[in-house]
Amino acid sequence: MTTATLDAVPLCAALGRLLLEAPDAATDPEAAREYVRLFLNPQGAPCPPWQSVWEEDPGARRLLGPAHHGALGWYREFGFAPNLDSEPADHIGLLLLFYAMLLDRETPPAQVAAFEKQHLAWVPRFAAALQQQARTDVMREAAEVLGELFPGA
Amino acid sequence: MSLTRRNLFRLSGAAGLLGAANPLSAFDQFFRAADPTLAASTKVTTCCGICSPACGLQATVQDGVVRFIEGLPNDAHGEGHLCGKGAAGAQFLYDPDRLKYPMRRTNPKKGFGEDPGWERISWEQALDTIAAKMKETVDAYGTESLLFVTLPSPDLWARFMNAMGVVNRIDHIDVCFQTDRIVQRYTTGGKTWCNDFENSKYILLFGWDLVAKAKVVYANGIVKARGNGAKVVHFSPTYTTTSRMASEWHNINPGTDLAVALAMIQVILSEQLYNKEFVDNFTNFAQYESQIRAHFAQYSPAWAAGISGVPAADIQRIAREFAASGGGIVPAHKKTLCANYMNATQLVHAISILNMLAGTIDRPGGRYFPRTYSVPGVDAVYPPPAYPPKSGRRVDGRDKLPLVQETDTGLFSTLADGMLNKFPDMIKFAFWNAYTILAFPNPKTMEQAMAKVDFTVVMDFIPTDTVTMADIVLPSAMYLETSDVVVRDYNAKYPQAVARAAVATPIFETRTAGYVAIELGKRLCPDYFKTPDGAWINPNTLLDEKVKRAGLGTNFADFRAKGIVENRAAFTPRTSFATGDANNKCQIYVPQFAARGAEALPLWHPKREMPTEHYPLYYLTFIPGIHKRNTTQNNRILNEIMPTNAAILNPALAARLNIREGQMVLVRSRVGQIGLPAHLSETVRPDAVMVAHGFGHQSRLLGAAGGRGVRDGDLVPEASIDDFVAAGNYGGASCIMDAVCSVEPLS
Repeated sequence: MTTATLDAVPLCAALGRLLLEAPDAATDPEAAREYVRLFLNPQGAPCPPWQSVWEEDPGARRLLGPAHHGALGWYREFGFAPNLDSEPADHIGLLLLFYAMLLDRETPPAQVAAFEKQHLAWVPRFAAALQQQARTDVMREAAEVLGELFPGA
Repeated sequence: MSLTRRNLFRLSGAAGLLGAANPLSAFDQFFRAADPTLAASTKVTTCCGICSPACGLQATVQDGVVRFIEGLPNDAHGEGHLCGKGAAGAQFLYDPDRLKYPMRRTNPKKGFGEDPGWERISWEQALDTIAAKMKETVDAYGTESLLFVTLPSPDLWARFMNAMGVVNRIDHIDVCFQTDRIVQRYTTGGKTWCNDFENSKYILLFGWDLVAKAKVVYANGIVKARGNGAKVVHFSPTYTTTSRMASEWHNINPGTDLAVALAMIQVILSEQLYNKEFVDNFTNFAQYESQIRAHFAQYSPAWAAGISGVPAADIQRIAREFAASGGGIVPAHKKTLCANYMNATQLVHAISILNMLAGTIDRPGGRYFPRTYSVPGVDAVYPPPAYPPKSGRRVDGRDKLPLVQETDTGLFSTLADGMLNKFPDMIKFAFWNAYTILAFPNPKTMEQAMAKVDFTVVMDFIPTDTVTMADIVLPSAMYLETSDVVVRDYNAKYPQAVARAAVATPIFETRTAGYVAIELGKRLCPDYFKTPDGAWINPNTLLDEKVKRAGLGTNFADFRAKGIVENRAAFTPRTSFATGDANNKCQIYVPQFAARGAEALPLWHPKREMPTEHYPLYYLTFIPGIHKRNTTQNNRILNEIMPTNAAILNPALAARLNIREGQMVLVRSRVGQIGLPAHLSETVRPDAVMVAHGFGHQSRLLGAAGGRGVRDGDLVPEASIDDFVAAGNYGGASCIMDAVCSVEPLS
């Protein structure tokens, strides 16, 4: 897990946004297809961006699992809710944005560490999968940066 | 932090995301201020959508997410219980592989090995593209070039297909209950799902493993029947859960149930054991007595014993006991052994006759007709302009079977042959709604047929194999996200209706078939999707109107607040049966069948495939109770319980062939072969191999089910409509388990 400082705020925010926003197929079809292939592919996305899908127990992997409710609880505790009604709260982009906000507010380290433990422990595995599967420079870079931010245990 | 400048620069440069004055501007974009109070969990009444009884359930919901599902105590169907599939409902809803957004294929090459190059598009783009392609297709090739593989529901969806004049709509009913539907229409007046097991004194089951099949309403019924002292006799070539619960189990030769049923009729008639009061007053027996007696005289217990392997003395005894019980019932249902051989139509006719001879049609202890609320469909609420005639050729050849043609369904069994051989290149546009090719006999030929279609739309909620062949994919909402009125029609001695409520907030961009119907209707046939005042039909207003007209509440919200509405009126047995008989009687002899080139009385026909020198074993398939056909294998909970299938062999057969438990074996039929591990069990006959249906989804498509197990259908020969006509298969029985095979060990 990262020993994050304020330096991580812009990176986490940028990564959060990058992973949340599907590129416009009209202006950048290659990026749009890559986004679908990695995260949404009906043929089986290799990098599902939701924490609930990365549970250790394969039988517990699902959308909107306990991680979704846990994330909602964190957001709520700080007086926030996601703006995206149809997106699970444990989407990696939302988690990274919220994490950036925690760091930016200079939240007590114990609280930040608790959030990391509950909601970011899976990110190294996600980053590794993204690094392996990405085909565009942007996604390769994102995976690399994410991997360096969250190097794992 | 060891990030290099290169990383920072590239990410920033490529995405333009860094360097903003406020690095947290994205946070403000994706989050809003909210009340910090924890959302309370609530219990919402709705009903299951896994199978047709739609057991009532309560969902515990928090923040729009279903946390837990349990049975609804006052519901007539589940009586507070759910089967494993129903209890695992939230896992269907939140399957990580769920289709999430409309997609468009960018790689024109189709096939399981091809990457379709999916591109996310908006619903507007998807619907515009589909509508344009349908119009272009109809203009160039006529409506016969459209294929809709879908059930005719919801009613808005049926209206769209009717408005477009779709002639080739096909669903799975032929591999399900079609034969019974055709036969019941003319023998008792209509298909019914209601069996009064709890008041029955004698239950004869031909093949149907209804206890394990996990329709809670039936399993409860059998348990109650046994508790009340009923005798249950089970004919089945495998020893199933139902066999264990039965009073007697008879290891009948596969596909020979008809012979036993015919002989039982012969015994009951020749020994005058039938219920004279019912038969004389409410059937056409007297009018056709001489033909009926002469016909069945040929089917003696000794004759049936030679075919079925069931001793003649047992056939005779069971027939006598059944008739003397004064309250016997022989249910018939769908795909579990008795319904899917070439002689299934004759079997359900014989079953219907046995019920008539027992005198229990719409009587205590028998098959009865549901007392239900009448809920109007969209055509009753908003009468449409006249629909265009459905003209054009039937790709499945259904029109060659007049009784099937009347039912307005289609034939899964003959679709591939029609697309590849009878009418090659006729189908240019296909819309698949929630069906996978695993549902077809010999799916390989269906793959070939699909590959020939110019443009394919698939609407589903998970990425089935069929999705791989699509040009446009539409993500479907599922039952926990939709609202409807559901009437009870399995345990329905008095009317009961349950509100199906959308308990979960829809996720991503899933939509219903009703939404697609309205939106395509606006683009292609707008006059059919307007109310009398010229506004577009609104599904919520339509639902309110249905509730009001059915007398269930002032609107859907009112009905939903009640959860269940019922009217405990007394059950009055029916004395008039709308079979087409001039005197409104049940029909043992069915003149309408004869008038359509079919058999007025059921004749013995063997099943299609019989053991040969090369394929000396019966091939038996079954649907395990924990799964629903081919649609639940990706559910992580159900997958954990049963992740794959095996070749189930009797230990004696295995010993003879030197096959050990768990060893890989090759099972072959005349159309294909499958390799899978052996599982040895005394529950299967030594002359048979049994394989569970529903497995063998192609790899990569589904996270849990993809690439696990084999397709049972790969060994089942598909059929042509000519085969059906030649075999006297006038009800279009699907033959979906009609195969023989060999088995050998793989080193």
